[in-house]
Amino acid sequence: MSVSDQEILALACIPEEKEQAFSLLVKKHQQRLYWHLRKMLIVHEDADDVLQNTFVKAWQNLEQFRGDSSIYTWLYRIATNEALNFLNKKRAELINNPEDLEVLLSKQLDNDPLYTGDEIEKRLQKSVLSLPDKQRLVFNMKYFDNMKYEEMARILDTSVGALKASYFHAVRKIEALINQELF
Amino acid sequence: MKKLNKIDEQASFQVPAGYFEDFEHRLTQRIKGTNDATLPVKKSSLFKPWMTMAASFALIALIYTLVPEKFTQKQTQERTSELFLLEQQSELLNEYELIDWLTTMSSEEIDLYPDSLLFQDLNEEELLYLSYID
Repeated sequence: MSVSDQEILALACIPEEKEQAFSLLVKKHQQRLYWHLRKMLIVHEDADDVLQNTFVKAWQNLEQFRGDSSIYTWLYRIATNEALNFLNKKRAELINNPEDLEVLLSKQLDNDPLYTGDEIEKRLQKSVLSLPDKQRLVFNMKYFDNMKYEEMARILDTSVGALKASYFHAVRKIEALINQELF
Repeated sequence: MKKLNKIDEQASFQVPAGYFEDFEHRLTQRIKGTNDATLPVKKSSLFKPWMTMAASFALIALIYTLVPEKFTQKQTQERTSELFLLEQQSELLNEYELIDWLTTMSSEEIDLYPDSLLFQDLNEEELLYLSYID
């Protein structure tokens, strides 16, 4: 039986029970957060690293969480910010590298033993990689995670209209790339 | 335009065997490691600001008491014996007059008395008199 967010938060308020509350929180949300991060970062080790950072921040701030949003929305927001920061840091490290991060991640897909997608899936994933980070994020959340615009708006702190426009442009770009068979 | 057909991309990505089962354990180790590493810093940081401030005040007090005695007096003495004369001299000519004088006079005619070997044997008044350029 799944534990509710309210039960986890109630436990977290008791200092002796904080560790148990956190353990329940990790068990409940680790997989969904991992797949979100993996689609953004492609490399398993990077997704693992950022997922750990996300939960470390959650542990440090659990007492301050006021419950204005669901725990999952809160965690998803931390994870998203961590992922965007991670990608920016990676780009800064590659400043003298002739190849862009997107190109390196595309190559990673070709050689990654932990990626088993067929050619069509690979082409789609490479097309998605060509999008700017925030547009890619919106595309992943809507297309792969089936998330509602209202929930996305809460996580990304933006309007539903902006998200719909962003998703529309992302789909148009990806369809164009796939039709032109650029990947 | 052809619509994108739904693909379950999640199924294409794999994780190492036992990854999710082991994740919580590794995370707990990391959090405990982080806490252990930060605790001593937090403890000592309670005292550090006071120690730093006390050391700073002691250093400032030391500078105020020692520096004027050791250095300022000596500098004042040096200034009165050498620099004062040079400053007095420079006041007699403005910049244009000095340039004009230096360019029109041949090097043999120029005697800059403050640099003279006689300087040690002359008092300030005598030196001023000798240095005065008519």
